[in-house]
Amino acid sequence: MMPARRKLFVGAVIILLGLVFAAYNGARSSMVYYLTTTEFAGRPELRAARVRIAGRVQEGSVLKSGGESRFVITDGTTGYNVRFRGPLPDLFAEGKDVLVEGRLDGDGILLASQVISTHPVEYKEKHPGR
Amino acid sequence: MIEALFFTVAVLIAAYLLAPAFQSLELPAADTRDALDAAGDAALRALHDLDLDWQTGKLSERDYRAARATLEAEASEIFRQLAEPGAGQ
Amino acid sequence: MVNFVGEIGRFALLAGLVVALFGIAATTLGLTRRHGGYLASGRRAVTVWALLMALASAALLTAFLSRDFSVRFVAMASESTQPLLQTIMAFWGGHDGALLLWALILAGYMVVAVWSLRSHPDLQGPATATLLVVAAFFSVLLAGASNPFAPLVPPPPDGQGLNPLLRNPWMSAHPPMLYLGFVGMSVPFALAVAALITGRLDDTWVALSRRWIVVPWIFLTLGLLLGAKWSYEVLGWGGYWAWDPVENAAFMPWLTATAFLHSIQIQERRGMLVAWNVALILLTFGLTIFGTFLVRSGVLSSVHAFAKAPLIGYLFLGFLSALLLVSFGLLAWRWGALKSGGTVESVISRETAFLANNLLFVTAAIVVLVGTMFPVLTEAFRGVKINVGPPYFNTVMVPISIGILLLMGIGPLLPWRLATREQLARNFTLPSAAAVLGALMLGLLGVRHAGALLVFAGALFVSGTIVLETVRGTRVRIRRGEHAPLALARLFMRNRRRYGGYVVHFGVLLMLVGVAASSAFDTQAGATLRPGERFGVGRYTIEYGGLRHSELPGIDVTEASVRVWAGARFLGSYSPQRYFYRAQEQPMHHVAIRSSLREDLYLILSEWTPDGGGTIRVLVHPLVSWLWAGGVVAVLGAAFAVLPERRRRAS
Repeated sequence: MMPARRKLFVGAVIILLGLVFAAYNGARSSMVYYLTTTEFAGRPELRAARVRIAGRVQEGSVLKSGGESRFVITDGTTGYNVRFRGPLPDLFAEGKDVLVEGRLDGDGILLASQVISTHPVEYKEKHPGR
Repeated sequence: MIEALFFTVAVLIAAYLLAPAFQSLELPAADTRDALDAAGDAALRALHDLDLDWQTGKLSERDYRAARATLEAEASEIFRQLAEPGAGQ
Repeated sequence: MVNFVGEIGRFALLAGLVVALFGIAATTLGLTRRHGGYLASGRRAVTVWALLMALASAALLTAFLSRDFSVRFVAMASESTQPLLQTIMAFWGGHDGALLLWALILAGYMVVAVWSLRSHPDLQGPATATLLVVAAFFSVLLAGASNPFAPLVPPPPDGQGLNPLLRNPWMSAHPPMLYLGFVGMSVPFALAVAALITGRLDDTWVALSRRWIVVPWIFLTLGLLLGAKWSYEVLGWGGYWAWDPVENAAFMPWLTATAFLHSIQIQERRGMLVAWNVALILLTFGLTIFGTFLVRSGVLSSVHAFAKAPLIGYLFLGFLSALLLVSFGLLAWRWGALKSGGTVESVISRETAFLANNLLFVTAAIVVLVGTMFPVLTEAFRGVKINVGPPYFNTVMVPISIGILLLMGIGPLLPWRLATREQLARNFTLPSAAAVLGALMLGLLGVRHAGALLVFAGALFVSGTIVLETVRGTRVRIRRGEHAPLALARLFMRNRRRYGGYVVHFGVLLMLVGVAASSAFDTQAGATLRPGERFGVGRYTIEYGGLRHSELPGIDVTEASVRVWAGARFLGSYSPQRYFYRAQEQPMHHVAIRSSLREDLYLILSEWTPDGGGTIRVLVHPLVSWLWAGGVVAVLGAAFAVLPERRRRAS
């Protein structure tokens, strides 16, 4: 007979290993690289990875047709064409900051699964007293 | 004008804060009687809980008797110490 | 009258900093020189600091109500057209005001805590000093980088207005509740530090910390619930929890505090786990400070962690490290004196259940912490930010939740020390049978989702044990000649902690059932319709009646009229809306929700065309209302459990 303390220890280790394994799998399957457009262009090894790209919607680039939207995301130096099916977020507009999550296809077009508008929850001091 | 007001308030606060520092109040001697008191409370609670556990059928009679005896001994030791004059000093 | 209010506010905050520092010095001197007069000075500093924070808060409120836009914070968080409630809410609608509210709440807790410790003079001194250190830290922020009274020259004609996202009644209560929870954790922290300094981690400390952690636990629970409710009604995506860093920041201290509430019972009963319990309290407080840092510094939201983090982020980080270093240092220093009184004698015992509970809760906290900090960690080690999404959290939290659910049923029925086989059979046969039968029935009714079935069966099992405990306890009293209703009432009143705990457990299991059902069985659909057209979602038929445009001060409102049937039964007309805040150029959802015990019908107006067509999205979430109801039950149960009990008499 093992003493109770040792049994508890063994049980705890088994539970922990199971949970660590679950966490590892969960993390692997939901990992998203978070980069700016220029950084993404500079990391060819991430071409096939799921990415979340931060940038701005380029002025005059938005095209909507039949539930699909196309636009260019840019940080001023590097831009990517984006294709997205689904409703764009409320704050989406040309010239505004945006996050695009998805993967590159063979032609270098970013197929977005999610488009997120980033806006400060708190007001910045850009226009004090507007 | 407002500066004068702030100055007055600051002086009053300083006086209020510093006043007790000039009294030589004795520190109360370290007293662990409150711990004995709390231990007594905990022991009585444990007995009460044990009785309820027994009455609602969570324990065998043998385990109940054994646990009850231990807890009673612990509790009476605590109350004996509490009854001593100068306990916890 | 030029910025009179602002000057009073700045004076109060500056004086507050000086008073807090003086208080720390006086209390420390009093403790080292064993001088009661200095200690009394330190206690007075607590009172004065509290009054100064109240003065500053009154000044800020006055500035808001008189629309004094020469105060920058007022100009940033309010505008002249804003209604009264929103103007008051603007107090904590921005960073600087939120910190002042934080300080005000801390002031309240400090006054009560220091006063109530007068019967434990040796703990009172060190606890006062610790609380004053926390107070001084917030005073530094408020008097400096985050001063809500910073002037704005020249004063603008009107303010920017409160962030539209925060203009919701739930937001009037969510931040204060959350802060009451966060800030309240300073008191058990101060008690733990005091107990470590004096070496008195005895039964007094156990009783005091238990009481002082339940109160903020209740507020933190309420804060989390209100935040979820706000997210559900305002963000317009149909969910209430997204594993967002802001949510995680509030959830982590809740997890460790809950672990403490359970493990402290082992110390109370068996004298075990003393060091562990202290560590849990230190950790809980550390996580509240860390959470505030996460939310306030913007470390996680920007692409690059520390590139844009403002000074305040570094201040928080420095304070947090110093705090953890000193408090865990104290713990290490006392390590030798923290001998555990007993040991686990049998695997099948109440002790094991509590240990398993702690393992799961603390692991959950670590999992959430790692997931939240993943981008920061990967940026530090691999040079690129990697986020992990909800699947990471869900794959771990689902098994942990199911484990915790089962423990809620098993733990309370196990006796301390060891259980015998006959007792186990006697206690668990009925609840297990209920669970198995229930699961079979649900399976036959077509519930095929394994995780959800497990949760439902577990919930039946736990309810079974709670009912059994209540019935047996009542019967004991009936046998003594009490009438049934009286016996039930007395059973609860005379065993507040035990039965209050069961009520909390019951609330939690309602919440888990609500979460499981609404995430496993949600349906959604959307359609772009012409006025008069219909479409079906599940058992509902939705008819789009057209659009109406109107105006509120500063807001363009677009409203769709929607009629809903379930089968042939007409359920009513609903009007999901979209607001457009002109000054902020920000659109906002005002969803329409038809809530019932069975399911929520969630209607969103997502887009429209100039010729009157509209896109309506419909989500059907089963049992969401169970989540809110369960939360209320859990909070009431905890409040009942912490009410003072009648003193037991020795006999």
